[in-house]
Amino acid sequence: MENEKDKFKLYASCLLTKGALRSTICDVQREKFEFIPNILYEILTEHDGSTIEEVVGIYGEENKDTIMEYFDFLKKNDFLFLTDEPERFPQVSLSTPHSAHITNCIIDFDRNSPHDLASIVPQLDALNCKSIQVRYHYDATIDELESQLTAITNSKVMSCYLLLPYCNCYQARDYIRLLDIHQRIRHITLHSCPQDAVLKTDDESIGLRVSLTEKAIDPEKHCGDIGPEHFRINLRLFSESNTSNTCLSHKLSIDKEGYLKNCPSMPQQFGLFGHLSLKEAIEKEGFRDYWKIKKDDIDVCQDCEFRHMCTDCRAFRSSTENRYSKPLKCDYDPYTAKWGDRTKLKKSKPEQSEKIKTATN
Amino acid sequence: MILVLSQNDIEATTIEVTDWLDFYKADYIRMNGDDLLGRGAYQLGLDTSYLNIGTRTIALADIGVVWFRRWTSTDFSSYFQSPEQEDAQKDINEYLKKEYFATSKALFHVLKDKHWLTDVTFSTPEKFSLLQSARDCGMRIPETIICNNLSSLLTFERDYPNGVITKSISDVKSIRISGASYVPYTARISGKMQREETFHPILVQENIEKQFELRVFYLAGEMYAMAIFSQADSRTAQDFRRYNMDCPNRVVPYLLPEDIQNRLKELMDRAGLNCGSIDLIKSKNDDYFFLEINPVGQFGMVSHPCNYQLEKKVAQYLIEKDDEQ
Repeated sequence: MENEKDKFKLYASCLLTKGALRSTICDVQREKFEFIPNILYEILTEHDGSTIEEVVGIYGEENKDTIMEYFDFLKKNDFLFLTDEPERFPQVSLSTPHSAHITNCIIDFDRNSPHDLASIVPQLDALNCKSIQVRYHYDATIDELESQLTAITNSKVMSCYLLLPYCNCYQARDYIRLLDIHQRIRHITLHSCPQDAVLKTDDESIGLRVSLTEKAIDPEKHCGDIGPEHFRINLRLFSESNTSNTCLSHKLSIDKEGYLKNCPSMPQQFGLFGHLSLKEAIEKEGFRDYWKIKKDDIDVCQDCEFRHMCTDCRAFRSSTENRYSKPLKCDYDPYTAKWGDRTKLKKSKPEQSEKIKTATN
Repeated sequence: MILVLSQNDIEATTIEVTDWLDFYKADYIRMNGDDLLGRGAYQLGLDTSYLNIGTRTIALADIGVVWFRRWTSTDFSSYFQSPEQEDAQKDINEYLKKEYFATSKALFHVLKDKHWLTDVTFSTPEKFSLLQSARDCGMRIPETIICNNLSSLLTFERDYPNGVITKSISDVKSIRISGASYVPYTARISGKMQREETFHPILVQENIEKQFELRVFYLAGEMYAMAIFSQADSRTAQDFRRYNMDCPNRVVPYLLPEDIQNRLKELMDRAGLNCGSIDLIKSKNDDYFFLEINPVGQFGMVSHPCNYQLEKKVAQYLIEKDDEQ
């Protein structure tokens, strides 16, 4: 009985991506990936469900050692199993239906912004939007945040991410109080903080929900970074990446002047908030154009072995005329499998120092 | 209108399904078991024609379909507090709990003629009767006894070279010890380890050598199966619920053979269930063994890794049934 189970099958949670020079196996269950040669990609896609002997037969005895090495590697990583019924193990579907018209929304504010959360959130509710990022281009006070965010308290928005400049007038306890009142705030990023700034607290968990960075972030410019530090390996991203744009699909943005856009960093706008409803804006011609641009459609990305674990950016592109051109802030070359200097430099930089300090008495 | 019966707190599956109901602009209302304990006034009678749920009043005639997902999450042991009289507190709370469940049954009775997704009347099947039905439907089942003595256990295990296991006879109950919560799981057992001649009754079952386990979500005749490769990890070999978070068991979509699907459909029909999670084993000898059915089991754990979109399918089913009424 046992020896009949000799047909090999990749686990459906191990997903292949072919690049120009090499391929990857994304293990979306264990959230890791491994490189494989393109010839192994071919074996696993064209001969999946065959026996290893059959593969040796096809590629010739002279390649047997290499092939056996490949399969040892796959078994060692638990990417593959043997079975006598490969037809009973279908692929995972890569369709990604959303129970929302908009899944995430970026809302920017400066001191003069004409819009406010109280009038935006009910409209987001009508679109089933569950996640928002609110970015303040000025040093909004905690009192302001507290009062504005009451808009999400009984809404469908379950997660809220905040980005604002650091202010030395607040202590850790002020942020803890805010997070306590508004439990739907998942994370606060405070940027432009002085080198010696720290938040002292007894509450160790705050480090997971507040982070400090010395970088001065201009939200509209500081976006679209591409690199290994942004790779994520999971089924949701992998399938979405196969079918739509992983940054812009189902996204709506309101820039600091109140213009409705795909992304605040993009020039096209679809009207001014207040002059038309969010629903009307997303139904306008052209609003969903970028949603459909998937990695397989984008120059260079379509040949990259990282494309279904990577992010995308259509705002900062290598060519402003060509909406299918490679993201500007990516310096990887899949044809040589080499990263550019910018990424190498980032890699060699030490980890940023911990700025949330647990107070010691 | 769709009536969603669930529990307080965050219940992920209820939220995912109601998100779809919102998306399709379906007419639904959610009621949690604990609403019967809340301050909202209500009245039930044999001729009741309106239900008060929170601040809303619903005409019973408008309800086309009832989805029974979950019910109460109240801990009755501390429901009524009387620190001076602990005996009384315990008895009173047991009594209040019984009264609460009887009230719940009265509500379900008022709703009995509605179309239910998981009819609450059949939502707690008894293990022996299910095993019997499964065998009658042509499924293989592991040999099973309930016993309370060493000699029965030793005699039973003698017949099974692969050993025997024990698991809960009823629904598992989590047990709190010093603030931490423990849930009983399926484990290997041997009479050789026992000292007592008699003990509290336990369920003992032939250990089936597995290729993999199968968790099948059943929805109105359709089956969505997931194979769980729990055998490679000694921690999960007997019970995949002893999750290994660092290196999770492989879980992948699986297509059940048609004859097994037909037998399971017959079994679900006999059990009065149109929805539920069925546990199976594919043995090393290539047989499919039936283990049990959990009518209100988590199906997110099948839906997400296999990308079956079960929450969407449940929502679509509810809308379709509601429209038929």
